[in-house]
Formats: sequence, structure tokens, C-alpha cells
Amino acid sequence: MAQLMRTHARAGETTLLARSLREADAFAAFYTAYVARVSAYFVRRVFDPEVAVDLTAETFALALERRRQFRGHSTHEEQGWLFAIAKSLLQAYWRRGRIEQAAVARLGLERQSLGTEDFEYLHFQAGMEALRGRLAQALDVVRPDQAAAIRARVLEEREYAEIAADFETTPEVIRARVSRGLRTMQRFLGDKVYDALADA
Amino acid sequence: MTGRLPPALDDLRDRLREAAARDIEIERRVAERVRGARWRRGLLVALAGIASFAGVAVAQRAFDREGPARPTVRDLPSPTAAPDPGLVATSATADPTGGPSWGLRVFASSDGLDCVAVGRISGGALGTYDASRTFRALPPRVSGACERVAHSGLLVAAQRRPLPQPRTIVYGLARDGQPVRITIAGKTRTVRPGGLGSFIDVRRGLADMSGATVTTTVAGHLVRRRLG
Repeated sequence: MAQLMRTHARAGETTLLARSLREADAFAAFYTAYVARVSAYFVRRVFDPEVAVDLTAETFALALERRRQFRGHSTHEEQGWLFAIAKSLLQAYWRRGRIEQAAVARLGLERQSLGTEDFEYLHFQAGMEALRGRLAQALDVVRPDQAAAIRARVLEEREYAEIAADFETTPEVIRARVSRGLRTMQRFLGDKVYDALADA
Repeated sequence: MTGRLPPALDDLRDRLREAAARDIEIERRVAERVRGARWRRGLLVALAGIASFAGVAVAQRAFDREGPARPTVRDLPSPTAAPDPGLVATSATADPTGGPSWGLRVFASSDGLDCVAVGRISGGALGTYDASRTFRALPPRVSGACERVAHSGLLVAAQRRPLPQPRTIVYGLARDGQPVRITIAGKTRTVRPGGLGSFIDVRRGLADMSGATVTTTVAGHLVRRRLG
């Protein structure tokens, strides 16, 4: 095992991930360096800060668990490795309609509920105000039940439980409608909506 | 554009730092124990040489039913440590049909053996599900499969659990962290060990273990264990 640790220590000492094998603060620095981009990546695609933060937490929890598998030597590779995890989680969320939280559970991480300051930060980072108008235009491409769920959750920012009560169904069904509808919209919008965000 | 993080993301950073500190501490303690075991073994060999005994090899293997007198990671510094700080989450593996992942607790027995216990992971704790599908966390003095991994290079254990769903679990520690090939009933899987060289393979059903083998590379040599 000691030999194993020495092998890991040789691999790319220049990156924060490599340093985090020996220093907990290095992993905190790694998180600080990328959390804004990762959370914005999710907010721009799921349009829901609560979901985005859950996916962000799972991304970094997996990065912590898997950091011994990282074989890169540069911050560019480090960033690509992290976003590969984020992309995989996003695909799983769209496919299953629920958020994967296995690594968060394994590490015993509990995240705080989001407050006003958190919502403002996430909306600003993702450029949500500029995005909402385009979202409203794209609702025609999804099924009516999914469009109604997206309108209520994303544009009107209502709680899942409240929306579910209106539609006489469960919050899980509403979550699934929102995630699947958003996936359809992303296919329709392609990169245009994200390109627009760059100008916001 | 990043600036100061808002409260929820700031708190998440602190929790991740604590989780990283726990992980590093576990690795450090196991490495210390391995170094100590090597030093003791070196002394033993030297004494044996003085006494003119040649070709002495020590291989000790036991199943520690009493468990450790005290877990080596009990006094980790973090006040908000996960319920099971000995848990090595990096080797966790998914159950074949979903539900909580399978994980390992790595610890030292009272006589210095490297031990590993297997279970399901829920809320940062290692435990088992009973017939009523209720999760029960493993107590600190849980039994485990034990061996001097610094000497043997590969510790392997297997369990066939009929409840709540039949599962065959092969797990252990591969000292050098090289890929581990597990063959059961003619079907081979290759598992890449996680932290401390720990590995788990979980299969559906109660497999026939006759002829089952586990192989890995230790110090450049192929090491094989038979399970049945």
C-alpha cells in the first residue's frame, strides 16, 4: 500500500488534484477554483439552482473519491477530467429524471438549503435573466405536460410539491417532466442558448 | 466573476475539505502500520539469521472474530467526521440491481493484522440490510477478514449473502493496487482497486465458488488465490 501511495504521489504533483492526495486544503482550493464554472454549467442546463447545486455536490464528491485515478499533469487536464464527471452526471439526470447522490451519501456530506444569497449568486453566474426569454420561446417544442411543469418550476420558480398538488400528482413525476422536457429543449436549442449566455 | 462564494457553496467546500482530511488520515495511518510491519519483519528475519535458521517465511492468516481492540481511525480529528471514518469510499461499487453501494471498512486488528469488512453504504456509514430491508450500521467491533497484507500482497475474502437479495461478494486488499481479476463460474471481471488497494466485486445470486480464483500482480509477480 505504501508503494501504491508513492506511485500516486509521483503522478502530476503540479495539479491541485495531485496535491490533494496529501493536503486537504488542496482539495478545498480545487473546489474553489472550479465551483463557479461547474455550478453555472449545471444551472444553464437544468435551469434549477437546487438541482444544479445537488449535481455540483455530487460532481465534487466523485472527484474526491476518484482523484487517485487522475493521471493528468496540467490544470487543463484537471478541468477536463472534472467536467467529464459533470457531463456524465448531467446525462444520467436527464436519462433517469432524478439526481444521483451516491457519492455525497458515501462521504456523509449534507448540503445547506439554498438561501437568497445562493440563488442570486447562481442566477448571476449562469446569466439566468437573459436565458428565461429564450426558454419561454422554446417551450413549444416539448410535450404540453412537460412545458407546464417547466413553466411552473423554472419560469415561475414554484416548489415541486406545490406544482404536484396543482397537477394532482407526485413531486417525483413533476421532477421527471421538468428534467426530460429540459433535455428536449436543449436538443432543440443546441448551443445557441449557451452562446447567448456568453454575451449576457 | 467568481468572487466570494455564497453560504451553501462555502459550506460545501468546508465539508469536502473535512472528507478529504479523513481520507488522507486513513491512508497515512495504514501506511504507517505497513512500515511498522515491515520493520518488525526485518527484525525477525535478522534474528532468525543469527540463530542460523535459513529460509524462514512467515505467513499468517486469520479470521479475526473479535475484531479490533480499538479501530485505528477512531480518534480522527474532525468533529464532524462521517459515521464510519474507516470507510474507504473510493473502492465502493454499485449493487447489480441498484440501491446503496457496497463499500469496505479497513482497520487493524488488535494484533496488527490488516482487516477489511464489507457492507452497504448509507449516509456515510457501513452496514447491512436485514430481511425487512432495514439498514443497520456495523458496530466498531465488527469482525473482518484479516491478514498481513504487507507480507502476502493480497487479502481475499468472499461472502454469499442470501438476504435481502442473493448476492456473491468478493472483496479484499491488493497491496500494490494493481488490477484484480476475479473469476467465478467461468466469468471473469477485472476490478481496479481504490484507496489502500481495496476492491469489491458484487454479483447477483449465490454463485458456485468451486474453482473460483482471484489474481493480481504483486511486486511484479502474479499472485493467485483460490476461493473454492
